[in-house]
Amino acid sequence: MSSSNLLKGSLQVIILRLLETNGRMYGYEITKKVKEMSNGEFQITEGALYPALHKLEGEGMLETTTELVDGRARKYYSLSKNGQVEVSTKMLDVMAFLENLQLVLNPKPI
Amino acid sequence: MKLTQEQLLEIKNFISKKGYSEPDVQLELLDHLACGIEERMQYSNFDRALNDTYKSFGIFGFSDFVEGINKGHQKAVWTQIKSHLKTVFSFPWIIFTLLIIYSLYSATLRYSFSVPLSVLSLTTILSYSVYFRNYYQRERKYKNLGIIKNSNAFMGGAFGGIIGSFQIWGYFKTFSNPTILSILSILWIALYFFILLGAWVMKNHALSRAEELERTYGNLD
Repeated sequence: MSSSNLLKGSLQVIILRLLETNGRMYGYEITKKVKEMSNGEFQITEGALYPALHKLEGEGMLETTTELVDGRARKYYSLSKNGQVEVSTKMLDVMAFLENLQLVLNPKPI
Repeated sequence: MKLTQEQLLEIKNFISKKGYSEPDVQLELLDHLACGIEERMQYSNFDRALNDTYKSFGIFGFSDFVEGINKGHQKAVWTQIKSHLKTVFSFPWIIFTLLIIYSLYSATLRYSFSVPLSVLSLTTILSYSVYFRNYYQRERKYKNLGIIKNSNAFMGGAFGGIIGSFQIWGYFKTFSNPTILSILSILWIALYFFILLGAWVMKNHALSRAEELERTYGNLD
């Protein structure tokens, strides 16, 4: 399975976490940041990123502001109050999931 | 390397040629494409950079992106609908809700189908009056926006749902028990109001987004 497929399930958490750390970001910046932080291993496709961003926005987790940059409109995403609460919960869920996955993939010998 | 206005226009035309001519959709796509092209133009020419950036959207092109926008709007509308419903069934509004339900139930028991039919007919006339007075003129200038097109499609669906709900009338006639008739009438009215609530929330959402876009970008043609 490619890393892109594995990444899809955690995409929302990645977005929330990145926005928690960086304040506000625009779409292309998110894809670049993920690629950079994973040394090129993780590549978020546009087809996955934007539906996730719009879903989070629709759920009220993200707020958006738009600015004119270099002659074009740029949409910045940031965490809403709900998003700030949700990011901690989702991070705990992912951590618990990774621990359990570790237990299943690398069981300790009895 | 920064893109010129001519190159940005070329990207807009490219998006239109791919079948997405709605200004709001184009605005969302434009910056992402432009960022990708600017990065690729460090070692390539504009045309090649444009094609390579487009390819990065995958085999379905912009369709996943646009579907994401539409789903996001639907999600926002659902969140608002749920919030309204929660209010209606929470204290203190629940008192009014229960009073209305009880009044309708009692009235239907006494006067049979004339009650739901009167309520629904009156509501239909009122809803259309409100729509033409508050929304129709306002949204005409945004008719090319994707979000307005979506909301119109939603309104079409809601209208179909309302027409469909009147077909329940024929089914109700087969029941002779007045209690069952009253309960079914209440459910019918509830379904009708749910559809109206959905249409109202969708229209408000679409119009507020369209007006927000206009405030940010100016002319949206």
